[in-house]
Amino acid sequence: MHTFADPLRYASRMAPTKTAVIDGNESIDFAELHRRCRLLAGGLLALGLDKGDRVAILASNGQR
Amino acid sequence: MGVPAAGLVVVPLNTRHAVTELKYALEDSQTKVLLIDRDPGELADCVNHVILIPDAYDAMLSAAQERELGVDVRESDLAGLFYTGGTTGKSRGVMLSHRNLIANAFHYMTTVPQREDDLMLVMAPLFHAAGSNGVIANIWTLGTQVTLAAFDPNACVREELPIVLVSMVFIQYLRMSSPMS
Repeated sequence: MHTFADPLRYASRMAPTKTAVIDGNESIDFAELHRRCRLLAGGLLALGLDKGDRVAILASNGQR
Repeated sequence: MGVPAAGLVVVPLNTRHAVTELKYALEDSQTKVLLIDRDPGELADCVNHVILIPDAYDAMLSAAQERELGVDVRESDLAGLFYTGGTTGKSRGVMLSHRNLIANAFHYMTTVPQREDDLMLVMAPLFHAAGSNGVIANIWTLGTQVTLAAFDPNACVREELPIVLVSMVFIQYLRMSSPMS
């Protein structure tokens, strides 16, 4: 059984310091990518969202 | 990636859609939070929270407590609502579960050989299922992704990137603009 959490967790365990994303002058490794996704989860859930609530994104491609 | 991993449902909006279509998608999906990198205008009225990228977004992350991902999230849970381009009628929100999107990524991994030392140019829009599909695969195979804000066919030549998710438009561009410099 797999969810979106699995690739993030797997990559941060297997290759924490390998570069995951390069966005202009900024590059982040897999541990940082996993950490930022956990922070995003924390930030969004702190707004009072419940499981299954919708979050829309309107943005050009980038690390965020 | 972080939104569905947190058990929430991501609604990737088409940056080429008009305000009317965007409002429809936000209202139809009953979206609560909008993450946006431009002036939201009247879209702000459709949601409870607007978070501007990059400043407010980065501030939210700095102030946030880390939450474990995937807790109580099941494979059959809804992960994303992808609104169709509307070519054949009114745009519809396609319901895709974690299982759907991950199966899609696995198919991609079996048809496009992936290696750890790959550099993948993320030029195909991430609001499209075809664009986001490679992202999951690439994280799993530990490749590096280079994001590009907009369509720029020459960038992959400049950056010497071996794997690019391309469209017919892109191939046509290469044919018409040879020799590439």
